[in-house]
Amino acid sequence: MGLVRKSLILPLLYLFNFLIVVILIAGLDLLYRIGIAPAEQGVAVINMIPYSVKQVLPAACISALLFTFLRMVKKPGSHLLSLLLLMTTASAVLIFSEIGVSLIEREQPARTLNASNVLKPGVFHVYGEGLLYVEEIEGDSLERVVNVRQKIQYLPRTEARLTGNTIAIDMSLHSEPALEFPAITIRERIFRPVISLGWFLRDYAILTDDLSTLLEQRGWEFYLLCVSLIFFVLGTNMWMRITRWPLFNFLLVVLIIRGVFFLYAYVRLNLANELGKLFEGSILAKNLPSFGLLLLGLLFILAEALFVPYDRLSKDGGE
Amino acid sequence: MAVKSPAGTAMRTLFLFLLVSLIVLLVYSVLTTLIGDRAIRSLQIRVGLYQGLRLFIEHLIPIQATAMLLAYSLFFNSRVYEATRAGPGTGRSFHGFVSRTVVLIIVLTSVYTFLYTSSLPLIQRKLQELEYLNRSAQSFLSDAKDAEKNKQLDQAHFFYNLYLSIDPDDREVLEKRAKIVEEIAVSNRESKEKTKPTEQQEIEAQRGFSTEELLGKAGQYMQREDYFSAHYYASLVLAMDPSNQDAENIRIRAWEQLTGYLPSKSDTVATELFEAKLEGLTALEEGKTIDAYYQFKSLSESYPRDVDVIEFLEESRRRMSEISFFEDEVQPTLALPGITGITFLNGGSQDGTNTRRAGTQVVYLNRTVNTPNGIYFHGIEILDFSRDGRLMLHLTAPYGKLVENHINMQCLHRSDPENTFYPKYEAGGPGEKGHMVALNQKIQHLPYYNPDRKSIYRMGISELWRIRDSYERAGYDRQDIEMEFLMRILNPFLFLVVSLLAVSMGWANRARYLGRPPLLTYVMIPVLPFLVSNVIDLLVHAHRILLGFIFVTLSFTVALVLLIALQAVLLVISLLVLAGQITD
Repeated sequence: MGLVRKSLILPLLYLFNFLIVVILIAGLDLLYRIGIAPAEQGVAVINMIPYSVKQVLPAACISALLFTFLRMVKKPGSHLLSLLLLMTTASAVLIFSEIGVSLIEREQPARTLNASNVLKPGVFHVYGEGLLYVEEIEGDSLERVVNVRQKIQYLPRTEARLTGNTIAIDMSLHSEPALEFPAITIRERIFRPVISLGWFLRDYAILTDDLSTLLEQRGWEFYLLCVSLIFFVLGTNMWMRITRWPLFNFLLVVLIIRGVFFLYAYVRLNLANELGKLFEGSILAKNLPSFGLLLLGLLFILAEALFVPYDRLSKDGGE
Repeated sequence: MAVKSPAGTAMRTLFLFLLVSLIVLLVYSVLTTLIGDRAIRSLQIRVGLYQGLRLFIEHLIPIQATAMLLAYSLFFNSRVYEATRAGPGTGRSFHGFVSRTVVLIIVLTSVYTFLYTSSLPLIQRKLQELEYLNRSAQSFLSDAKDAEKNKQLDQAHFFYNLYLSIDPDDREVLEKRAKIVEEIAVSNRESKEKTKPTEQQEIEAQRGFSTEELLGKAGQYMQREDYFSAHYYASLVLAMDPSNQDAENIRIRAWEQLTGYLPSKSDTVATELFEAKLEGLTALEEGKTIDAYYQFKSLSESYPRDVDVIEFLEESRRRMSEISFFEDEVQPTLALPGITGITFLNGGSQDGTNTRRAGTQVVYLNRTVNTPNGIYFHGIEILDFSRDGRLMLHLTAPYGKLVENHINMQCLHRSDPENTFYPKYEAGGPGEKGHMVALNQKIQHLPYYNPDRKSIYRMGISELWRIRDSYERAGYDRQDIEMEFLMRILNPFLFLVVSLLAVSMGWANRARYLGRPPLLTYVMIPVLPFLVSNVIDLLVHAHRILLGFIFVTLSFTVALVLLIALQAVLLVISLLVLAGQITD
C-alpha cells in the first residue's frame, strides 16, 4: 500500500473511531445523568442527549486519536501528510461538533435540589464521622431529626438549607452551629467513582467547562484551545514509538495525556489567575493553558522529527 | 537448542510478578505504618502486614493484568518470536502457546474469587480490630499522661495499666508505671502521717469542753434515759478528772441501767445476725435483689462461715446476674478489641414479623466488646420518640451488658452500694424491666451498623445477601448493600475477562526486541501496574454506571441478571479476541 494511501485512510479511521467512542461514552454519560436525576422530577431524555455528547466530545476526540495512533504505528504512511490530515480532521471534528451540539443543545434546567433529594426519610445518612436520621421530609422541612456524633441530639423539627453543593441543617435548638455537609443526592452516591478516577473526572470537567465558556464568548480563544489540544495529542504520537515495546508506549501516552489534564487544571486554576492579575489584559496570560499545550505539542513534534524514526515499529520498516 | 514454551515463560512471569507485587506491597505497608506512627509498637508490624495483604487482594486485577501483559508482550521467548517471523505459516499457532495459560487463568480466577469474597472481609475485620486497639492504646496513654500531669496518680496508674494490657512490652511506659507506683506508695505514707494529728485534734475538740459542761451533758442524758450518751460523757469527764465523784456516780448508774436490761454479748450478736439475715431474706423475697445482695455481702465479711449467709449471698448473686452486672467485669474490657460508634434503630422485632413500635428508638453504643463472659457496652445512649415528635425516653449509661437479648445498664460495685453506675434519664424513666432495654436487632449484625463506610467491606458476600432486610430495619440504606453486592459479584468476572484480554493485548502489542530488552525497559515495569489500574478503574466505573442505572430505574434483580448476561458476553468477546490472535 502506498504511503499516501495509508495516510489518506487515517482520517476515515479517525472518524470511525470517533463515532464509536462518542456513542459509547455519551451513552454511559446519558445513563449516568438519567440515573442521578431525582425520580420525582422526571427526565427529558431527548434534551439530555446533546448535553451528554457535548460533555464527552474532547474525551472522544482524544481517544479516537489514540486508537488511530495504533494503526499509524503499524502502517505509518507519510509522516507529514498523516499529521496534517489528522490535525485538520480532528480539529474540525472537535470545533464543528462543539458548535453543532451547542446549537441544538437546549438549556438544561438548573439543578433544583431540596432536602428530600439528599436525605432519605427513615434512613441514617452518613456524613463525616456522624449520622443524621430524619423520619419525615417535606421539601426542606425535616421532622424528627436525630444527629449522632459521639452523642445523640434530637430535634422534633427543623429546616434544611441547600446552598450550592452544601446542605445545612439548623441545629439552633442545641445552641450549636448548623450541621453542614456536601449535598450528594441519594442516587449520586450509587454512581460515585473511586477516588483516583474522581480526580481525573474533576480535571477533565475543567477542560470541558473552559471549552463551553469560550464557545459562548464566540471568540478566537475557543478555536485556539481546540487546535492546541489536538496539536498536543498529535505530538504525543512520538511516544508511541519511543521504545520497541508498543504496549508500553501506548500506556505511556495514556499517562502523558492524563498528566496534561492535571497540568491543565492546575495551570487554569492557579497560575493563569495569578498571571492574569499580574499582566491584566495580556493574551498570553489569559490563554496560558492553550499556549502551554501548543508549546508542548511543538516540542514533541520537533523531538519526533529529530530523534524518533517515523517507521520505527512498522511492519515494513524498523528493525 | 530446544525452544522453551512461551506458556511456561508466561506462568513463571505471572507467579514471579505476583510474588514480587505481594512482597513490595507488604514492605511498603509495613514501612508506611512504621514511619506514619499510625500504630503502637506491638501492633505496627501486624497492621502493616494486614494492610499489605489487603492492598494486594484489592489490586489483584491490575496486578494480574499487568503480569499477563508482561508475560505475553515482553517476556515471551524471543526464539519463538523469531520463528513467528520466519514467514507466514512457519510459526507455532497462538492457541498452542496460550491454552495452558487459559486453564491457569481459570484456576487463578477461582483463587481470586475466594480471596476477594471471603478472605478480604476477614482481613478488613482484623484491621479494624487492630486499629481499634491502636486508638484505644493511644487514648489510654494520653489519659494517663494528663492524669499524671494533674497529679491524679491513681488515675494515671489505671490508664497506664490499660495501655500495658495492649502493649505489655513498652519499656518507657513500664518505667513510668513503676515510677507512679512508687509515688503512690510515698503519697499513702505521707497521708497516713497527716491523718494522725487530725484525730488528735478531734479528741482535743471533744475535750474543749470543761468538766462541768460535760458533766452537765451527762446528767441531762441520764434524765432523758439516754444511758449510752450519759455513760459516754461521764467517761469523758473521768478521763479528764478521774477523781470526779459525780461523774463516777453517773457512769455507774448508766452502766447498771445498760447491763440491767441488755442481753449478754453472745445473745446480742446472735440477735443482730438473725435480724440482719431476716432483713436480707425479706429483700430477696420482695424482689429487692440488689439490697439483698449488699446485705448478705456485708454479712459475709463479718460472718464468712455462716451457712445461711453463704447460701443467700449465692442466691442473691445468681439473681443479680440476671438483672445487673459488676463494674469490675466491664473495666478490663476497655483494653479489648471492639467496635465503636454502633448506631441503629431498635424498632423492628427480631423474629421477622417486623411489628414496629408506635415510636422510633435510636440506640448508640460508643464501644462494644465481645468477650467469653458476654458482650459489654461502653457509653450507651438511647433515645425514643413518638410519631408526634414527643421525646419518650432519653438515657445515657456508662456501661451495659447483653443479658438475654436485653441491654442491661445496671452496673454495680461488688461491695460498695454507693458506687453504682445506673443510667441517667434526661427524659422518661426505667421501664417494666428496670434499667434494661430489649435489643430488637440481631447481635451479630450490630458491628455493621455504624458511620464507618468501610463496615460494608467487612461483610462477606453471603453476609451481604443475608443482611439486606435487617440492614434496612436498622435504619440503613438497602441500596448501599445491594450495590456493593453487585460490584462484589462483578470483580471475579472482571478478573477473568481482563486476564484474557491482557493476554491478547500483550501478544498483539508485543515487544520487538530480538535479544534481551534494554535495562531501561525493566526500570519502566513498576510504572505499568499504575497505568493498567487507571484503565481498569475506567472499566469498573463504566460497569457501575450501567448497573447503577438499571438498579435505580428498574430493580436489583434485573441489574443482577444484566450483570451476569453482560459478563457472559464480555467473556465470549475476550475468548474470540484471544482466538483471533495470530503468530504471523
